[in-house]
Amino acid sequence: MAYSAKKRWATLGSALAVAFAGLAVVMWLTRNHTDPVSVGLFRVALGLIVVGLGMRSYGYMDEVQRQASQKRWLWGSLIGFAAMLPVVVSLQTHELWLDAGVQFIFRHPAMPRFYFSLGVMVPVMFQVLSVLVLRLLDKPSRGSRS
Amino acid sequence: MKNRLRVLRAEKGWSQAELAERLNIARQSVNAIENGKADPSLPLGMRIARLFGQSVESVFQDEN
Repeated sequence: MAYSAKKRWATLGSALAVAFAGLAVVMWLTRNHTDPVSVGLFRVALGLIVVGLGMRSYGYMDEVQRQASQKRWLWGSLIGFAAMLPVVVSLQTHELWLDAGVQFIFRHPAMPRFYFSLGVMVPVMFQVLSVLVLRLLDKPSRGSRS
Repeated sequence: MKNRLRVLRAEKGWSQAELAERLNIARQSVNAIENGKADPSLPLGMRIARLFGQSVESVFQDEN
């Protein structure tokens, strides 16, 4: 796929919109006690669509942007993983206030506790946050227009 | 890798955005190549050299 800034941002925006809309639907379905298998299948379909759109967005980058993106994801993932460890170790202490705090951030009161999803979401969130920080730090040095 | 992209672009009187449009890459990518923050692949390097009517070696120099 050839470079196209418009198509890149359009597909990335679509991926984010679909992801957020899909998560809202998942929460609504869960709250209404929909069959867990149906919700699971919906989640898988949602994940495939979001990943597909994300890959299309990646395809519309030019090679330099891809290089920068790969570096950011490599370092961002490693930094995010390292930053996550203290949180995970703290959770292992089974401090009730800490457990309640984490559940308060990630869980709707109407939903059951979802430790497995937390196990996936916590590292991914740390990694994504680290990538976003690296992206912000990289911005000023790439701003010259002369 | 060092390169003479900024000089060649100035000689043509092109902005980074104009050069980016001719190469079909992002303006930020032209900036990154000019500042040595990114090295282009061989095909892109050849496209750049061809655009300025130069050889690849005269546009890009190995620092070693």
